[in-house]
Amino acid sequence: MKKCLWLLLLITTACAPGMQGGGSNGRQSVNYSIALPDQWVEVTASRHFLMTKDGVFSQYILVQQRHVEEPFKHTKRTFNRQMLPQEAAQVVLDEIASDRSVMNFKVIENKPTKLNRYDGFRVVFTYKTSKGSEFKTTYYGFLKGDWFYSVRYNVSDRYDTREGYEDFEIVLDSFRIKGA
Amino acid sequence: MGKRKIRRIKEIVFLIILGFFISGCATPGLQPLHGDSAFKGNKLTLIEQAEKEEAILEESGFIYKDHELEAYLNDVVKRLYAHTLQTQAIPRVKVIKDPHLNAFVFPNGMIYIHTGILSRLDNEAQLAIILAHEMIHYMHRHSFKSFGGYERHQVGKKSQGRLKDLLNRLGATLSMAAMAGYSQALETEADVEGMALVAAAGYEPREAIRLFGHLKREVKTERFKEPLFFGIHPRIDKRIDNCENFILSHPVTDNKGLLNQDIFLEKTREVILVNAFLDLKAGRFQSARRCAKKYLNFNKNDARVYYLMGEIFKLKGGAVPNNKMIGFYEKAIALDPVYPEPYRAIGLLHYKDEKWGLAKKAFESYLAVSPHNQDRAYILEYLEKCQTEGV
Repeated sequence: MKKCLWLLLLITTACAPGMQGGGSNGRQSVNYSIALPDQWVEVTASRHFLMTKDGVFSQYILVQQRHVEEPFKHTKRTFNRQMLPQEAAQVVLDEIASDRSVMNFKVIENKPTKLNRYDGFRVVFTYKTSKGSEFKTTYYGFLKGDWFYSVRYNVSDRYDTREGYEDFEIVLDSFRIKGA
Repeated sequence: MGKRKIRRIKEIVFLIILGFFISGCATPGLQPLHGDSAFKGNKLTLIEQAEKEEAILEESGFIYKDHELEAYLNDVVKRLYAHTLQTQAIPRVKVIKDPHLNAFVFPNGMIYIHTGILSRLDNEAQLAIILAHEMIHYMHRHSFKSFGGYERHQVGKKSQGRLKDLLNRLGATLSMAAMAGYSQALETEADVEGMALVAAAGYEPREAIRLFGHLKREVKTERFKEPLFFGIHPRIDKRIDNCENFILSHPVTDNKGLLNQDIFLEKTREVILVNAFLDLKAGRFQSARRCAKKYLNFNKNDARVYYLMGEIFKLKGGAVPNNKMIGFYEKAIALDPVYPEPYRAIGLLHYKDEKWGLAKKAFESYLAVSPHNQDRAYILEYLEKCQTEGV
């Protein structure tokens, strides 16, 4: 279990280091708000805003905010303020593809979308861990000024139900940038 | 003392050292890996663990599938193996799609070499140096000594601590441990005895100096923090020392060993390009560019490498004029008009420059040659904007 937790932390930090809702983290001040769906619990609000319903190994929603200049863990590529959503999506995908703990990484969907009213991207991908567990991630992201925001739903293949996506929709719909 | 006499002494020293190496490689005190009760318990568990992890790696999507290349690499291993007195199973080799400079071996003799290091090599002699090093780790059972609770006194305390940390952190995987390297003593043994094996098989051992010097420069320019082929302990300088000591202990001879450069480059050509794209994803632009240039030496008519060059300049950023990138993309299109990516790349450059007409033309060409690409929705959105803004 401890090993799995390490792996999960590796994946979550690797895929998009970032943020939380309602506090501050070094030079980054969190400036978004989201709603927690019924029966979901907040796991941590220290660095990431992470919530789950049945446990993080079953499913979680992760909301992050990162500065565009913040380096990634596995790729030296970085965001820049002029990037189109497709280019920002490619940076995220390159980061995940360069992470050796993510196996059988497959992109199922990559398209433009809006998160709240911001132009962004929606990427759906699957991967396996070295223990053989399979996960599917639906990842929304967009750049606004100095910040990259992302909201993702990560679910184990055994918990991949319609209800989970409905709850994820609630979080997406509730996402607001404070003062915007 | 006359020159002839010195040469004679050197030859005798060489023969003594060679005898030592041969007996060292034979490792008479070690038993075959399978079918022996002495290797039950910890050792068998390590083998079983290795087989499990080999199966995981096989299904991971990380293995670079090229049967011809695999056969070639395994032939080099067989050539080296023929100069040992081993009775255990012959090691096997596979390639991992990974731009890092690494190679490692599992206790069951499965050697993995990364595309990163393979694409940096100049010839078969350099390949043999790397494979021989890993073969010595396997044949001398270094994994049992390091991870099997066997002869722990040979492994430095610091090394044990680091390996233990690594094992704990990453789920005690053998692959991670193998990748991280062994103690300094075991790495030195693998270097020195590996070199002897390379020389015995007729390869040019002096290529080791070129190889390590070459890799050292790259580690420096890219500021890599690689725990990799160079291992945690004997950093690259120590590895160079090991090779130099070996070469100094051999008589100077006019006969150059085998390099087999042409066949090596023919077999690994595609890996160079594949790895350049991996470097690009990892944002290692200098490495990607070096690989692309190397590939261009063999094939000036491959559209992919010109597209890659354009992407390197684009993603690296800085004050690179669009014309430079467009020049590469247009060259790619001229070589292969149905290769879609350069059209999209040109379209994106014009789109961001608000040259709507040129962007539209490029995006339309992209969709024409690749109507079902995964990013179709983005392109349609760009086209809509080109239409609106271009009016």
